[in-house]
Amino acid sequence: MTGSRKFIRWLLPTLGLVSALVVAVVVIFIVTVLLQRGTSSVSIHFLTTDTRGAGSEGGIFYQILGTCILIGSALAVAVPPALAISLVRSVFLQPHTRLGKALDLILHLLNGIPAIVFGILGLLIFSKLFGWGKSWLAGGILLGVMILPTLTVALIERLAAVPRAYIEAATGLGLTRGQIILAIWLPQSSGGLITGSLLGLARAAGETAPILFVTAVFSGATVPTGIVDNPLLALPYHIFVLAQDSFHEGARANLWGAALVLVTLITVLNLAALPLRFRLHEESRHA
Amino acid sequence: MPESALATDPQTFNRAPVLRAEALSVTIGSTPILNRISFTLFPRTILGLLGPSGAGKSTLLRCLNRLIDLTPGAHVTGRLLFHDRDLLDRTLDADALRARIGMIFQQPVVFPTTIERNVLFGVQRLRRLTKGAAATILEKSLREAALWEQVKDRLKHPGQQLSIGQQQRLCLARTLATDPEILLMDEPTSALDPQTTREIEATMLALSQDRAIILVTHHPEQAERMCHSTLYLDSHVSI
Amino acid sequence: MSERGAERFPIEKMRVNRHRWIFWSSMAGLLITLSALLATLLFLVWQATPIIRQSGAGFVFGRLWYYPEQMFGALAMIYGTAVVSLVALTLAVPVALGTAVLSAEYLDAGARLVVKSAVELLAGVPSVVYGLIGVLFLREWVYRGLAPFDPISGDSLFTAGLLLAVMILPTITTLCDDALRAVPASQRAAARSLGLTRAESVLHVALPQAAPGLLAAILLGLGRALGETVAVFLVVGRQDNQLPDKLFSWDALISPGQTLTSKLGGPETHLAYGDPLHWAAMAGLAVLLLVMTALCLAAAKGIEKLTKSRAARVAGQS
Repeated sequence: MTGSRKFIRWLLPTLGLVSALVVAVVVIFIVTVLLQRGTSSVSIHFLTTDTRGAGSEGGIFYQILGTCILIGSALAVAVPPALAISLVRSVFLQPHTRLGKALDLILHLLNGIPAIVFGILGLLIFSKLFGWGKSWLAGGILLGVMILPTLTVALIERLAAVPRAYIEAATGLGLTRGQIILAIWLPQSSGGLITGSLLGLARAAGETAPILFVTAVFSGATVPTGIVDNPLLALPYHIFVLAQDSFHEGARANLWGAALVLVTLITVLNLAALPLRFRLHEESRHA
Repeated sequence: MPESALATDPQTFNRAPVLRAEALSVTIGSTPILNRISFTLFPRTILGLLGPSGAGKSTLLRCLNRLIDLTPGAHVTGRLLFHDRDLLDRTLDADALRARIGMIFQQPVVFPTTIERNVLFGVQRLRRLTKGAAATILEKSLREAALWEQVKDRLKHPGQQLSIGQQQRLCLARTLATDPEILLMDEPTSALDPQTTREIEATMLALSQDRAIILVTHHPEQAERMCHSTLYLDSHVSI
Repeated sequence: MSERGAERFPIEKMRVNRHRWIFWSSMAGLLITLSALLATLLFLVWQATPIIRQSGAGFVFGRLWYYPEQMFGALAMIYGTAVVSLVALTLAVPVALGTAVLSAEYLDAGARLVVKSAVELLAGVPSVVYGLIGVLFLREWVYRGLAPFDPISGDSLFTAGLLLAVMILPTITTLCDDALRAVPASQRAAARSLGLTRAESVLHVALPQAAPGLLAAILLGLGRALGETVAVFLVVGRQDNQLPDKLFSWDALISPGQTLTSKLGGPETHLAYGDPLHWAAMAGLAVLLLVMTALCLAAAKGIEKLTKSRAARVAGQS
C-alpha cells in the first residue's frame, strides 16, 4: 500500500478521536465545575428556604416553585394543540401530501424561532395589548408555544410508527375512522405524548429569554394569586441576574447551587424520556 | 458440466489449487453459522456453493475476502490457504487481499456517480494510474463484463440510471478492474429476469477461462449448467 | 334466505358517524393555533413599520445606533451577529464533524452510546448556565490568552463566538452523525470489497453521500447560533457602534460588540416602551433576526427535501 494511503488510514480516525476528546473535555469541565461549586450550597435547607439578602443568604425555594409553575402551565398550554395538529398530520392527511409537508415546514420554523423573539412577542401581546404587566400566565403561554413543536413532532413520529396492519384490520372489521382514532391511534400515541412532554418540560425549564420581560422578577414574588401583575421567580432568571452582578461572595455560592439544581432538573427530565425514546426508535425501524 | 475445453481437460483438477479451506468454522456471537467446512478451488474453474437459505453460504463467501471482519462478534477458525498463505492470519493486509479476491453482491451496489467513475472506483485508488492506463482498464473491464458496447457512448452518464442487469454488469466491471484472481459471486442473478440471467451466465463462463469463480446459487439447475464442482452446505455441515 | 347480519348491520343507510367531533375539533385546534401565530407575527411586523417608513433601508444599513437622538442603524449589530455566528461555526463544525465521523464509522454500539450521551448532556445545559461559565471562566481565559494583543476586556465578539461554538456543537454533531448513518451499509461494503481501506470508504463514499445532510446540519447550527441570546448577552460586551471600517477586523473581533440578540435582551427593550419610534426600531430588530433565522431553517429543510426526492428518483429507476 502506498505511503499516502497509509497516512490517510491513520489520519482520519486520529482527527476523529481528537475531536471527540475535545467534546469529552468540555463535558467533563462543565460537570466538574457544577458539581464542585454547586454541591456545597445545595441542601434540604437550600431547596426549601426563600432567598434573602439578594442571594447572599437563604435558598431558592420560590425560584424552584416558579419554574415548576411555568413548565406545568407550558405543558397544559401545549398538549391540546399538539394532539390536534398531530392527529391532522398523521391520521387525517395522507403522508406525502403537500399540505402535510407544509405543516412539517411550519413546525420546523416554529421550533427555530429564537427565544428572545418569543420574549418580544410576549411583551407585545401580554404587556402592551392585554395590559397584564408581569404575569406568570404570560410566561406559561409563551413557553407552551415554544415547546409545541417538540411535543407535536414526538406525537407525529409515534403515530407514524403505528403499524398499518392494525389500521387495516380495524377498518376491515367495520370501525369508522373516529372509532379507530379512539381505539388505536390515541392509545398508541401515549408513549409519544409522555416522551414529548418530558423533553418539552426539560427545554422549558431552562429558558430565560421568553420570561425576561413578561414574567420573571428577581425578588418579591411568591405564589401567584391572579393573572394580572402576578410575576414569578424562576431559576434561569435568578441565575441570569446574579451572573451579571456576582461580586458578593455569598451570592456566588447561591448562584452555583441554583445552576446545579437547574441542570439536575433538566437532566432528570431528559433521562426520564430516554427509555421511551429508545423503544420508539426501535419500533419505528421495524415497522 | 459446462461445455468448455477445460471441462474435458483431465489436467483441470491436477493443478495447484488457488484456494483451499480446511475445517473452516464461523460463529457470530454465540450462534454457530458454519461448522468445519473444507473445500478446494482450482484455477479457471467455477465452484458452486449450494444450500437452503440460512445455511451460511454468504457467510462463507465473506470469509474468503475477509469481509467478515466488518461483522461484529464474528469468530472464524480453521485454515484458509490462498497460494499457501493463511488468509485468517491477522497480520495480513485484508484491504490488499480484497483487490485480489473480488466480490459481486446479490443486489448491485452502484455508487452515485458516472459509469466511468464507478468502474475505476477501486482500481484508481489502489495505485497511480495515468490517463491512458485508466482508459485501457476501463474498456477492458467493461468488455469482460460484456457491457462495453452498451455504454461506450455514455461513459459520463450516471451509473444508477442503468437497468438492473446492466448495473450488475457494471459492478462486475468495477470488480474486474482490479484484476482479481478469484471472483466471489453471491447469487448474482437472483435479482434478474431469466433472459438477463442467461446472458450473465454466459459472461461468467467466459470469465472462468481466466479466473476462478465461487458461485453461490439457490438453483441447482444453475449449478448444473455452470459449475465444475459443487459444495453443498446443509445445517452447518459440509457434505 | 335473508342476508346474514342484515338486521344488525344494515348497509342501506350510512351509519351516522358519532365521532365527527374528533375531526372538527382537531382541525379547529390546528387552524386556531396557526392563525394565532400568524397574527402575532404579522402584528410584530406591523409594529416595526414606523421605523421602515422613517428610515427605509437606512435601518438595516445605518451604522449608528443612538436612541436619545433617534438614530437607529442596525448594521453594527448585524455585523456583530454575523461575526459571532461565523466564529462559532468555524470552531464547532470541524469538531462536530470529526466526532460524528468517529462515532458513525469507527465506534461500536457501546462506545457510540457513550459519545451520544456526552453530546446530549451538553445539549441539555441551559443557555444561562453556559452564560455563567462564560462570565466566570471564559472571560478570564480570553483576556489572558489575548494579552499580547492588548484587549480591552475579556468580553468580546470572539468570546461570545467561542461560547456559542460549544452551545451549537451538540446540534451539529448529532445531525452529522444521523446523516452519515443514513448512508446504506451496502455502499460501504461494496467499497471495502474493492480493497479500499475504511478511511477511504469514509472519504470517498460515506462523506460525499452524506454531504447534503451535513450541509443541513451546519445550516441548522447557524440558525441556532443566530438566535442565542442569554449566553451571548453576558459575554459579548454590549458595546454599540463598534462597526469597523473593513470587513475583516481583528480589532473588532477582540473588542466588545453588540449583536441583535444582545440588544434585544438588554434594558433598551423596556426603555423603548414609551417611544413609538424606538419601540418600532426594537421590533424591527426582532423582525430582522426572525428573517435571518427563518432563511437558515428553510434552506436546511429545502436541502432535506431535495435529497429525498433525488434518492426516490434513483431508487425508482432500478
